[in-house]
Amino acid sequence: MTPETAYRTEEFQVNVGPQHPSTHGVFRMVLTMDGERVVDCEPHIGFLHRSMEKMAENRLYIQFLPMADRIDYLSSIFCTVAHCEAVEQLMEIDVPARAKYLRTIMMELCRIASHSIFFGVFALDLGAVTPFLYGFRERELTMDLLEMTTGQRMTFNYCRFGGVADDLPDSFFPTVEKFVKVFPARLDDYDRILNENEIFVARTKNVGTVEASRAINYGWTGPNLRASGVDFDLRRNRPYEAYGELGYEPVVLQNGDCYDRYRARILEMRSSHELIKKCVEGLPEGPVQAEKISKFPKVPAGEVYVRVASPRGDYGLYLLSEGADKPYRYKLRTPSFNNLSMIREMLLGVYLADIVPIFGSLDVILPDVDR
Amino acid sequence: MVDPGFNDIAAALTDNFGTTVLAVEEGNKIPFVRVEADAVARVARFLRDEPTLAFDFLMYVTAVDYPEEEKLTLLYHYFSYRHEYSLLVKADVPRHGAEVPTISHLYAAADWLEREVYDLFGVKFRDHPNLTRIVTPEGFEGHPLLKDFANDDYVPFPDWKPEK
Repeated sequence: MTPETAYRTEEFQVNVGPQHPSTHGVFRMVLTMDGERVVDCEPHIGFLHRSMEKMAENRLYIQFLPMADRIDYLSSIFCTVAHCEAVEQLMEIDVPARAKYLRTIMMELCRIASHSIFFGVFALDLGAVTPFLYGFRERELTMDLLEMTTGQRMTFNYCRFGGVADDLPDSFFPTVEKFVKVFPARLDDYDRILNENEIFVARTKNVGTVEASRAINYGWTGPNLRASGVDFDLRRNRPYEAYGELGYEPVVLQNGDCYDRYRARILEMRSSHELIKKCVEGLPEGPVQAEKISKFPKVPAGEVYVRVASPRGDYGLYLLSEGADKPYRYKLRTPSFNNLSMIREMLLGVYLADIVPIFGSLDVILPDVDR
Repeated sequence: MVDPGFNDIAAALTDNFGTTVLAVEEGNKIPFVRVEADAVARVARFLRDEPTLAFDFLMYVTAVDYPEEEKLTLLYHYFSYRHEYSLLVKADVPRHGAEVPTISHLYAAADWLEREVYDLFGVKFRDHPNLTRIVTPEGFEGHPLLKDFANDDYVPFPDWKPEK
């Protein structure tokens, strides 16, 4: 008898969540375990389902604008940009160049805010407390800038049909200058604290590896997909807002493991920093709002599909209008939903302890999954 | 944004599927192909495996409810990373008790997406490995995204009583 068969083992079930720190919200898994190994996993989502699509179909376009912020509250500006873009495409509104640049700056600041939270909580999941404080320190820099422009810290409600709510305040420029100056050094700190940390590397390298074809088949997008070696980024391949003029090159890594998904986000923060610098330098003069846009638009009949590169992946909005003042169909294609759908396949056969880095490295956010 | 090459894709589909492809329409902003509901899986396989098309990414599956016309329109939106173009495929089904073949064996993403369409619209997907509700709770009745859905008396946890 080999040691493996000498003792009788019995499968047992472990319930994870819905309230558990490592699930980053309300997500529940029922795991069937054989010792330390996962044999089966049954994910349950929907605890945060607010029926956003139904609510959008029952509201005026402007009424849903502040609500769109709540779909993914850590990167809320992307949801409103998609909402405004969809309406603008159907109404054929030309957004002024300055407004496009302002949206781009705010989106990139928001991306840094979202990724620095990821940096903090991902390390915290693995037992390192210090990066959490670092992550929130850098998030505060971007939050200051977002707050002085939009008046909010989480749900910005900054975009309007045909532009943005307001121009930048005068205090923005010295603050952003300071931010642009200090931020790269802070990212160097990140690299020093985790990149070659033996515990961190041991727990993330070659853990939860996903090859490109499988990632595409499951509909993965964003940094997760690029960490698996797919060279595609909406900001370069399908440019919108000001990205076409900025010459962006996406971050592509090859291994597709937890470590690369982590690295992809840290490197994206560097490229976001570059984009912000370029945007502020090349910020065109002019109005921030197209003229003569009704606040309560009747959107002409038609259908559009808008894709925005949110920090979690492609945030898609399919909008079908029948010519009324409310959308007829408002389908949200949220990146976290598709990124999470692989979780069962990813967890089969892994150790219980690896569940936390695998789940954390996907960087899903549950309101974005459940809608 | 209208993709270049839509006419070639549509021509390839009509050549292969004949009358199963009901219409190739300009659409309003997005051109699309309308196919028979029973053929969505065959069409999906062709779109995925034909190297000149290579639609490897299923962006979303959803439905639109038209109560006056007594129909639901299913939407499958594909994207090809190799050629960088997208294609919208539509299929009409009856509003109640509709059944269409699953594409979850072709696109793993369709597993959850089809469950969502089942949950919110009530369309059944034949041969789906686990066709259960996904975002609404167990025991929920009705399909919320149908236009005539009303569920004002719904109590989330009927057996729950406040502690004294």
